[in-house]
This record gives sequence, structure tokens and C-alpha cells, in this order.
Amino acid sequence: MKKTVFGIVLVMFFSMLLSGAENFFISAGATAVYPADQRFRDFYGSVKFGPELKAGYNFFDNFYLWLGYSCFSASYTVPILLDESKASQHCLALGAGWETRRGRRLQSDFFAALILAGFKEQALGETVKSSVLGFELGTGLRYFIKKKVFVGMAFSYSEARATLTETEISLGGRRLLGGLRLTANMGMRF
Amino acid sequence: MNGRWQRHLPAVLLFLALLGGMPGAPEAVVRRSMAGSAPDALVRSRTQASGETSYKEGEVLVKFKARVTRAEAGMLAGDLAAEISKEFALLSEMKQSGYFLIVSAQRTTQQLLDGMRSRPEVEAASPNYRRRLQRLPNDPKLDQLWGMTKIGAPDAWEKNTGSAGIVLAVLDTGVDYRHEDLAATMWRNPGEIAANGVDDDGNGFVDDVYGYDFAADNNGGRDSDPMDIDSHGTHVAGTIAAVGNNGSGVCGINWDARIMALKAVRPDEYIFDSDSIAAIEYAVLMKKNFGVNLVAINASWGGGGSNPLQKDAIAAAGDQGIAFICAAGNDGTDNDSTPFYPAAYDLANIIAVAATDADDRLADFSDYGANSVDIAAPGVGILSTVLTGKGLEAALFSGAYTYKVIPMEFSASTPAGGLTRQLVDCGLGLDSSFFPAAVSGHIALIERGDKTFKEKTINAQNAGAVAAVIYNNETGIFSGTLGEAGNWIPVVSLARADGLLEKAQGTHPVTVLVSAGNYEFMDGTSMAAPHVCGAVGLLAAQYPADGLAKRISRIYSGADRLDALEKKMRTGARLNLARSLSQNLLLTLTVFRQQAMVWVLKKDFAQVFFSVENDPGSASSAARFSIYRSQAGGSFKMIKEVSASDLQNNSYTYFDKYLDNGVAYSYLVQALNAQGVVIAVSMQQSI
Repeated sequence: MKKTVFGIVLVMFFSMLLSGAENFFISAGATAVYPADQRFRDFYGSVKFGPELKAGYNFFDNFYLWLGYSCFSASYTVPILLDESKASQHCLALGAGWETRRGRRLQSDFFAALILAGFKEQALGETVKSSVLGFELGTGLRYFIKKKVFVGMAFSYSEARATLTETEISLGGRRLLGGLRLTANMGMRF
Repeated sequence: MNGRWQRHLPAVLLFLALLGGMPGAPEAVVRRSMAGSAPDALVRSRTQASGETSYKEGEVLVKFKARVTRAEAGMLAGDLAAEISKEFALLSEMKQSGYFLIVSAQRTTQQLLDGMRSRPEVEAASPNYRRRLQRLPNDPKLDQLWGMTKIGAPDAWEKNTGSAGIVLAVLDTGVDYRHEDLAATMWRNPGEIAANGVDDDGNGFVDDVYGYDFAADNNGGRDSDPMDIDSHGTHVAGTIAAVGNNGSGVCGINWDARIMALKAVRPDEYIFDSDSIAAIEYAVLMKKNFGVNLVAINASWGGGGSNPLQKDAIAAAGDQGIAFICAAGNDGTDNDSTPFYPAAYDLANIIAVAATDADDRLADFSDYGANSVDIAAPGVGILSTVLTGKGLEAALFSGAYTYKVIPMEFSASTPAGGLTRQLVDCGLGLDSSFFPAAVSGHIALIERGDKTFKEKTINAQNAGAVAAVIYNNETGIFSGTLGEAGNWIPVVSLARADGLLEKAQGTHPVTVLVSAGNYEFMDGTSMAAPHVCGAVGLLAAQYPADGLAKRISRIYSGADRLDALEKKMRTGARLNLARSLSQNLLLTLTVFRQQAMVWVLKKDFAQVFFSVENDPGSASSAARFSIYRSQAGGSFKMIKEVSASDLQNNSYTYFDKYLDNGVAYSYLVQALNAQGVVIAVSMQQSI
């Protein structure tokens, strides 16, 4: 099912590229995340870095739809046991945005998205993973250094709440996925 | 506009496609990637000990809080129409709390307990339990004093045979202090002049020469005479310290120690907590204030509920470096689920002892407990001293042979020189009509089986036999009982091989001798405990500088690990006196269960810490150490091997990771020499 959906998305994406209306943009960048979950920060640290990919399509004047993917991972050494614990979070976002001054050299935009946030933790000989829906809100600036090439920065907050059931191997309670994100990226419009 | 929408159609489709690909409402349920799951949490019930649980009606033992004076305690008792019968003064002083026996003629024990427990001044209140002796009818299987051989006593005696400076208390039915094999090893209070009616040493007890009689029965109460009433205490004392190398009778583990007689068992064979506490208090008093080098108390009795006052008294003995050796009980049950007190009290100075037979199997009657029983010792067919003249001794003379036989309980004695008659084979002796006529006036040889000894004996008597020899139907000898006192002929048991030899000779003359004696075979954890008590005494003689913990550690470290005892007790081992006495390497194991947790995951782990101690001047002979683990009652498996060079400051910590939640684990450590021979074993620790 996932492969089918992914294939459809790819086919449609390339078909839109071929239309040549310069309504597409793609960007790649690095993001610094301040995780929303206090417990995560306690174990894995306060600032984590990871990649971000984003693609968008202006379907109506300054409005665009966008699709993004980002992730980050961290490790932690369990005291006494000296076991390495690994945790990662990823976020698939699908949303809409509004950008100002389209066609100008400097643009700003505001965007929102529905996200599918997931996590995975491998530690103490066990592995847990899960994913939940959440949201993302943000704003950014783009500066076109060439007609089609831009650099940008974005600031956003994403959050998804996972309510965990206590089991023999996992702690119960709520976990927040996502967090404050500051992203530097480079992209192009075509 | 339409054209514009048509242009955007692929993008809209893309958006819809992505929406369709998203899960509708994913549940945030953690999925476990590893197969399987941990078993359910181990559930253990804790119930009262099986069997009769009784107490003295109208009496309670009460521990008051520190600030409560005796007068206030008396007033509180008065409020319940009760009065203080006894204050355990030394215990009160040592524990900084008031310990009292409170009695009432008008209130029941339950009413007294309810009343006392409702008062904020009361810290604990307990019935005055009565507990019972742990002896069973005889069932010996092997040779006389086989237990001494089994625990390596002869090798130990090469090193040490005991010291007159070591005192071991027998808290029991009393001790026959005039016994030929005990008179020389009885403790005598140096500060007391016998029978002068004066408390010469000022310890509060008049004429306490050999100890004291704390059995406050209805026929005169406590007195200074701890003479045995039943032989049980004398039997225990003989195993601990019957005189050795004196050319008569048996010898104890200590050939030369001193037995303090603390009589607390009443004629009905029960012992009340008030009496046992008083006896323990006396022992502590004599050590603490009068310098008696008392190193252990043997308690071959038990049953009934937990009593915090009794526990405190035993703990107070521990504070004075006194080991408290308890019989594990004779119900054949698991003390972990059915606690048997005092053996089951969780106190460092208690050694709870199970019984093994000559084949190193746990005796079928013996209680056990992976967490509540410590060690095993011989307890089946143990020959030892009994009240002078109250035992039965026997022999069978046939031609040039003298066979070892065991008189049946309640058997008649023979004339002084024995009975010399023809031995006539009577088969199984199932019916008197099957007996050959020739047996009349002679001795019946009968094979064991199909009917009770009593029935076979009746048949033999009816056939006119004047004595009976019953030989075993399986390997070895046995002891049996005729069930009750009666007008019996002399009856003895014989090993199967000997019985078949006699049978093969046909009818022939033999002499059976059954006479009153000073020794007898007994079974029970009551008989096992004194082996360990004696070991404590011998270790104290060999290593006088040892503290209590080290002394106990030597016993556990030197014990023989046996498959049959694995998971049945903390050490999974039977006493080995020789190894304990030569044990210069002591292993102490401590295990803590902890939980590691990270962001989402959690998992138990065990911190397994063991330390190694060598006696001064002795080099460690350990080349490596093996850590073993048992999971959920399974067999022990080695989980870590540690080289001696890996130890830091003679200790090692191992973290056993990834334990399953709710599952019980047990650990032990073995030390091995360069040849791979186990030279020391730690006590088993469970988490």
C-alpha cells in the first residue's frame, strides 16, 4: 500500500514538473531542533540537528501546497550499564502556505501542515516505535540569489502527542514529538 | 478560472493522494519489536505455617514504644483487665523499648490483641505462640554417625576438635547433664554455687549452674534445673558436643566444647514464645554482662506465626555475635510460601537448616525454601545421646558375626545377656498361620513389606516367637516403630544384605540383644540443626577472631553444592565441616535488582557484587570465579566467568542486563582453583 501511494506521488510529481509553469519549488537544508519533550531532552540533549527536504507547488497565486520530510537522531549512554541508547524522530508534513511578494527577490512566507510524526528508540535490548498525527506552524524568509535559486531560513514549531501504554518494557504517559525548529535551506523554483 | 484549475489539477490530485496515504488515526501504542513477552509476575502467597497454630489463651507478648514506662504499660494492661506477668528487662534495655508478657484471666488473647494494637503506645503485640519439637519417628538408613562422615568431620578433627572455651546453648527440652557423654562438656556457670538457693553471681537466676529451666509449666514453673524431660534436647546436645575420644558412646562435632542447657520446652513438647524469649534473653545476658563466650544457640523447634518480639530477641542475640541455628521444619513444605518460624525470620544471625539423608537427598519430611532456608545437614537416622537409660541399644550375634541392628521403637528389652534361640525364616510374616511351627519359642526372621511392623510383630507373637528380626526389603538398614507402647517381644531391624545372609543359612542359633541404653537414632531437621550449630562452635574454636558474619560465611562457603538441593535453599548446599574449617577464602555475594530507563524504554538489571576475603597469611587459591544465575526457578546457568586478575580490591561487580520484569532470579558465585575445582561457594541470593 505504501509503495503504491509513493509511486503515484512520484508519477504525479514528475508530470507536474513537465508542465514548466515555475510553480514548483524544492529545497534542502539543515535544521536544528529543540525537542518539545522535556524527558527526551533530559536523556538525549536539548539541540539536535538533522536534514530537511521540502517541496511545494503554488496552485493559486501566493498560496502553495507543500510536502516536507525531516528527521533527527540522538544517542545516550545508560549510566552503570554503559549501554548505548538510540532515539530518532521523523516528521512527514503535508500542508499549505502563503508567501508574500511573489516574484520579488526577498520573500517571506507562513505555512501550516498536518504532520505524521514518528519515533523509534533502541535501548536495553529492546526497540519501540510508534507514530502519531500532529501539526506544524511556521514562517520563513527566502532570498533569491538568482532568478530561480534561493536561500532561506524558516522558524517553526511542530508537535505530535503520543500517549503510551505502560508495558513490561516501556514507560507509560505522554510523549511530545517534534519541537522548535530553525532551518537553513537552499532551493530552486521551476 | 476553469483552465487555471485544470492546470492545478495534478497538484490537487497529489494532495488528495497524500491524504489518502496517511493513516486515519494512528494509535500511539508502542509496538515491541522483540518477539515474545515476559511471563506473568511471580505471585507468591504468604500464609501461616501449616499444621497446628496455637497459643496460650489469655496471654499476649507486647512491645511498647520507647517512651512508654513500665508503669504506663501496667496501666494500659489494667485497662484491658490484664497485668504484666513478665518484663524482658535485658531485651527492653538493649532495644530501648518495653517488652512484656501480659496476661489476663478475664480476656481472650484476641481481645487483648485488639485492645493492645489499638493503642498508639504499642509497637507490636503478638499471641504467645507455642511451637513444637522437630523430631520425627526414627528412619535411619545408614551407619552409625554417618552424618559425621558425610560432612567431613574426621578431616576437620585433624585440624580442631573444639575448645572448652566455646559455649553453645541448646534451647530445647533440657539436657541430661549427667549423661556419660555429656557430663564433661556441660557448661557450668563459674559464678554460681550449685543448690545453695542463692543467686551467687547476681544475674537474677538462682542456682543456674548448667543453664536454666524456662519452661514455665503449671507444675511449679521455672526453676534452676534444666534436666531433660524428653531426650530431644539431649540428642541435640550430643551431636553438638558429646565428649570425643573418651572410649564410649558417640562423639559430637565438638569433642570439647561447653553446652549451656536452656530448657524451654514443656512436658507436652510445646514451647511458648514467652519461654523461648526468656531463654534467649538469659543467653544474651550471660554473654553481654557475664562474659560467657556463647557463640550459638540451637533451636530445634518451630511452627506458629511470626512474632516480632521473638524476632527482636533473636536479633538481640545476633547483636552479641550469637548465631541462632533453627530447624527448618518437618512438614515437607516450602517455607517461602508457608513460613516456619523462627527459621523464617529474615535475620542475619539465623541459619535455617534442612535435613538430608545419607544419599545427600533432601529428606522427604524436610521443609525447604530457596529464600528462607539456608543450608542442609544430615538429619535422617542420626545417632546421638538420649536421657540416660531411656534409649534402646541392640545387637544381633550370629556365629562369628555381630550385626548392627536397630531396635524398634517400643520394643521390649531382652534379658541382660540377650536371647539365644534358633532364627527361623518366616517369610513376610503376613499371617500367624503362615509361620512355621518351629518358630514357637524361637526368633522369627521376617522380611519387611506389605504389613506394618506392629502387625508382623503381633503375628510373630501369636505364632509363639520370643523375638523378631525384621530385615529390610531394600538396600540398607531402617528403623521403625511398633506404634505404641505394649506388651511386645524384642524386635529389631536388620539391613537387607544381612537379612538375606541369615536367611540363606537356614534355621540356626543367634543371639538378640536389646537393652536400655544411652543413645538412640532420631530423624528430623531437629537433628540437622545441631550439626550446623556444632560447626559454628568448631569454627569459633579454630578462628576465635572471626565475627559472626565471617563465621557464617565460612559455613556457607565451604558447603557442598548438591543438585538435589539446588533452588531448595539459599546455598543449595549441605554442610561440609572439613571444607568450612579449612576455608581461607570467603565469598560474599550481594545482588540488587534495579531498573534502567531511558526516554520510553525500561528494563530491569541486576547488580551482582561479590567480594573475596582471604585469611591473613593465606594466599588466594582462586584462579577464577563463575557467576551463576537461575531464572524463574529454573536451573542455574553460568552467565559470567571472571578471572582472579579482574578483581579490584578483592571484589567484582557485574551488571546482569535485560532482566524480565516480574521474573524472579537467583544468583550464586563459585570460586575455582587453577585445576577447575570448586573451592568456595557463595550463599545464593534471590531478587
